[in-house]
Amino acid sequence: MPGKTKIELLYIDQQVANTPVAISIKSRLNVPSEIVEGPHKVFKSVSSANDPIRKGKEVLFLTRNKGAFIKTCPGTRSYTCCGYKILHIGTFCVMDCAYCILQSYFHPPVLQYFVNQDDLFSELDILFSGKAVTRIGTGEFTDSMIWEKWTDLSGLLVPKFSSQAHAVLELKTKTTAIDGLKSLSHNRKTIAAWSLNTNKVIHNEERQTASLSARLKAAARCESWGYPLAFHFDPMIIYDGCEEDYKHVVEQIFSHVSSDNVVWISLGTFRFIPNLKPIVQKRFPGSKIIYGEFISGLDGKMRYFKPMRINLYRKIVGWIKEFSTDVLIYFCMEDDEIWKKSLGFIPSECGGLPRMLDESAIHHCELDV
Amino acid sequence: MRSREKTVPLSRINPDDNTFHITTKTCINSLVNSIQNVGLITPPILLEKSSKFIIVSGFRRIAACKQLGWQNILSRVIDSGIKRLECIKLAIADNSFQRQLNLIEQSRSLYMLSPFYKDDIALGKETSSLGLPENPSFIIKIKKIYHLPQTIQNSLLSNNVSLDMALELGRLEEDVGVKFADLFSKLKLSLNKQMEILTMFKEIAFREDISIFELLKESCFQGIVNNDDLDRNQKTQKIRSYLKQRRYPALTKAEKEFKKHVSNLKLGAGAKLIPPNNFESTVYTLCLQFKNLIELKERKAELDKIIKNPSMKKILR
Ligand code: SF4
Repeated sequence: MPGKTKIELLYIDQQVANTPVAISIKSRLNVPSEIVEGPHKVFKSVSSANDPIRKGKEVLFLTRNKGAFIKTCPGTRSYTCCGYKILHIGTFCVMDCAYCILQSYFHPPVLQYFVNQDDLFSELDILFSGKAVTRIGTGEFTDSMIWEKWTDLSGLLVPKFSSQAHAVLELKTKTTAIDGLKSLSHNRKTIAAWSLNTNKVIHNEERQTASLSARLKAAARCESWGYPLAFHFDPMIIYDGCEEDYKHVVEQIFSHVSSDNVVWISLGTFRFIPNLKPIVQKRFPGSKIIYGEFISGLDGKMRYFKPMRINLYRKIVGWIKEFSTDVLIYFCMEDDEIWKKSLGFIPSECGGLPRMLDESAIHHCELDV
Repeated sequence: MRSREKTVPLSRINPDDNTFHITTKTCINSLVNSIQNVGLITPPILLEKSSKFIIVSGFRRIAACKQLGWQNILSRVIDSGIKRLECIKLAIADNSFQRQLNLIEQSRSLYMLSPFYKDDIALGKETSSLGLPENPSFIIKIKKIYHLPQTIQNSLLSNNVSLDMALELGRLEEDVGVKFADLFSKLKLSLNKQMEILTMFKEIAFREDISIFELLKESCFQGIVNNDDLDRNQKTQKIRSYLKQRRYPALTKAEKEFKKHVSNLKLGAGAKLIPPNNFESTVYTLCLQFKNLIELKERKAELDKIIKNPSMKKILR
């Protein structure tokens, strides 16, 4: 099992070396640093390591995002997508989950942070000026809150979103790095969200993440500061006794926070591109997660055999509904059959999944329509 | 290299010192015949060591001459001051210039040479002149063969397992690897099927917290392997479906149920119902065959019956 990872070297793209953001991160990180002409040297040093994935978590590369900061979530035709937008602040993560898709997504995987924040804020201004209801999050290509120690990003993003009324920012994390959110003016336009799992999965598969109870305590603190909340059961792992364990997670959620303040809860069982399997086998030889009853899904990803997914979804939906019939539950990348058999309806009957989520955001985050 | 021709008593040659043994061939019958008919054409190469001689090259020639009852043999004896590396090269070259060395022989050769080189890249630079592979990554693979158990080496030599599979089996516990080599040799499976079976075994054992060895010993599996009423292909088929059912119990159960419902539909020979792949999508395919309008009408009648059949409802549930 890989040991604890820690950033050991900071690479700074010479184009951004003199920017205030880079200078500030350098002084806060306090590790040896090196100015490089471009990504080549960084990628080479990561790629040539014995375990490039681990190495990618031990170096931080400060650079410019040369592409778009706002991206559309890459859904597939065969499964229902939620119409989410991604705010691309950086890549990769310092935590180390066995199932993490980012291990096989980036070639090579490198912890990068984009310091050209003026461009990011310009793109946000354009987005806000469109006045369309938008859900956007930073937690797709990285964990939203790992950057708190070294950057002021949340301190800038949260007030930025608070000053408009059409878009919500979702900060999704497995950490408890929320102290910086306390005194920010958020106007309920930022959703504090946690990916949750059973204690067993967290202990066995999610290295360096916060415990379930720590995550939920952090969620309760955010709620006490007025933030709306969201939870993501993703990836749900099927194992002997998992049902009882997931039931316990549901109970824990509602013993910590109020269901009225939960904007949405997503459910998604473990799915992975076939390339991830050899990576997990090599990096996490003791992990059993890839040996479930997986079949090849319509999008080429490996998914649990459908009746098994439906069985678990039905149960967890039932447990959530015991606490609240109002909280919006949705599935991440599942088809109409799953919706119908697990929730009793299909999204198109309610105007489609993006609309259902927009409405919940409008309601909980007090958006203007 | 300094050497001299010398007639050496066979009793002074140590046949058990395998320091320079390369060949995997053990049969000497044809060699005995040849020496009997035309004599010994190429003398063996020997190295004198404390009043005895060890064989550098010519193990089979010496065994053949012994079998023919010779007392002495004309040999090329190399100077005892010659470095060990030179002797190894001589042993390899003497074999590889007569014929293509097989993988085991290549492995033995590389294994003998490697202590004298800094790494496999340096080794690769030397090997092509000895008729051995020069690609360092291939050298790494081939060297590993040397440590494989004999049964796996034999399966490799007889082409019952590929090099990659042999190395894969070598990574397992020794008795487990040997059992698979044995099984694959008996069933004469393609590499794909070998890989499938091995992967299934590994994953089932890991999922169920038992060892692969225990799984191999289980009576269900042994019952198939030792069933004399089954031929190779039947055994292979039964093993594969047994493993699939154990690795994917829910999926296999669903497939069985689907088959049962389809048989209740009593589809005629001209109709076939195909389920979605792994039951992931909800789209079923019905194929109807007909040659003329009369047959088409018959199919239509069958179709109406299928729609009303409760089993169809169960399939589409
Ligand atoms: S917290 Fe998220 S991004 Fe980080 S390693 Fe785990 S799955 Fe990957």
